[in-house]
Amino acid sequence: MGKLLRFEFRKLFRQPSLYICLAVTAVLVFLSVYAIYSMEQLVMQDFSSVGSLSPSELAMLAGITNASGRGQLLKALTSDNVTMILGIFTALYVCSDYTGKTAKNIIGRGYTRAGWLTAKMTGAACACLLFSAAAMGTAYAAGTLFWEAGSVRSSDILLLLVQLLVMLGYTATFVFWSVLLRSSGGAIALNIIIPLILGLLLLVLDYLIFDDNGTLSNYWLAHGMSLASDGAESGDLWHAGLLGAAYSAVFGALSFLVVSKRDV
Amino acid sequence: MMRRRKENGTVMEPVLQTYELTKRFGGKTAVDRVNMRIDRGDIYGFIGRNGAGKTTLMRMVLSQALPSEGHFDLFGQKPVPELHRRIGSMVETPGLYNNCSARENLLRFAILAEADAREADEILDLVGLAGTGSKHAGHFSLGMKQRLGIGIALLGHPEFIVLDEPVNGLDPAGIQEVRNLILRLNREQGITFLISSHLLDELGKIATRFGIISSGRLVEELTVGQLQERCGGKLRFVVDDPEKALAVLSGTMDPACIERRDHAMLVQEGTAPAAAINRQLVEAGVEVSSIARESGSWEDYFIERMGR
Repeated sequence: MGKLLRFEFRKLFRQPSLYICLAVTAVLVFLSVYAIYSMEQLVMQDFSSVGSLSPSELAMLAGITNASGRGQLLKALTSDNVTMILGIFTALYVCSDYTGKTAKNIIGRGYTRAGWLTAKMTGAACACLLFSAAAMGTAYAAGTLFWEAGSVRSSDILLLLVQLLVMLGYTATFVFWSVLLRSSGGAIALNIIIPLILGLLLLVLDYLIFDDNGTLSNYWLAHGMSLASDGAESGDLWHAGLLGAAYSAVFGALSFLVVSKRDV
Repeated sequence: MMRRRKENGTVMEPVLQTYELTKRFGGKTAVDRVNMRIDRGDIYGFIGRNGAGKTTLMRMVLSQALPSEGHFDLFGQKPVPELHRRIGSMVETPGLYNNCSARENLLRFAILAEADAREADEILDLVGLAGTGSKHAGHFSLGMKQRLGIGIALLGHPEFIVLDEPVNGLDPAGIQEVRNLILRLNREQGITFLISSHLLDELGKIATRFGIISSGRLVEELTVGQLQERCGGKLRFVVDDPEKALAVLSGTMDPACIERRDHAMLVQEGTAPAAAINRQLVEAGVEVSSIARESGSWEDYFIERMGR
């Protein structure tokens, strides 16, 4: 297992797409924060008569919340952009051994499919943490640059950990689609489309089946991420954390099933 | 474990032995109850038409494909992962990271093969890719990719190497290099090879044993000696009266050993000495204008066994 992990990590960190996607993530997050800052500036111009208010009070007045480094840090992972880039990278990373036909070299050398997938999922999880760190770091830095740092509380750490768990749930689904399709093009398409479509689809089903009183959409990861926001209660955090863990477990098991039953 | 003895009495250890190995894809049987045996030190030439099941069988032996039925032993034992570590392979197209250099490809697989950077560099040199620098494998010619694939198979000093069409895309000089490399590794390091190739002539130059597969079934396994026997040469007598010659020879030998071809009579070598046949024909009044030896073609034999 140690050799497989070394092999996967060498591949991961020497993959140019990792650095390109990390840079794109950072740029997108920075632009998102900048967009909020620009909106705030516009609001400040319109509300010039209330010049006695502080920028963050003005922002609150205009409905722009989290106007600090801390605030941006806590909502960095809620952006669809981060999920989308993670989905693209995971597809490229996981499918590289199928498209280059290198999976057969690994299996042919006596490494089991389960061991290979475990190493690959570890690599994908590591990439997920890197993307999350890039997004959170950029959001915090940008928030601090445009407003103020804000004080990070100990409860925020738990919130961030729950958000990371939800991101790992997304990663498990991305790995699953990638090993199922074994083509980077198809997996990229699914990894972008599914997070976008599924949430909407579940909402529509809730409306059609349960007359808008249903709860299907509550079991999708996006709902978990929305629960794990600033000021979340412990019940919400539990719900979000369990969703992340459940998706990781279920899609991880499905990936094992797919890989173990198929030729490489 | 069944042990066999060579003609000189040496015990031969099986490196690979398959038992009723079968692979089905849906309703199609790609490999049908194959019992194959490869001994240590063999260069086993695996021959068959496209789609005969060669690659599928190789993939099963390498655990890349899961058998539908049957099983196989490696080095006389059940095929546990540790035994697969002693095998190098290149099946179908070489498995490469196209956005990496040849050296980086070797270094990555060196981790899995428990080889070091020095061995990777030696192999890079051995397969003639030392001068490729940072050029990405994706930009290599087909021949260069093949050589890199063989290089990856050589990592970790394997005892058994499985090569599927290893000279595909190579120019004549490249083919010769690969052939010499295989022969050298076999003679100097005792590495056993399982090689499939469409180039029967090329395979004939290196293989010590052959397996012929047709429609998924192993129709024959034979050594070079057995092959030579079966493709035994023929004595060719050019005569003035072939009808009379045929009647004369048929009276003294098995008609199955005689073949008429225009003005020539072909007699299976070993049936009778050339001088005796000549004397017999001349004494019967048949004029013999030339006597020559015709060697049998391996290629014809293989093609016949593979099924036309």
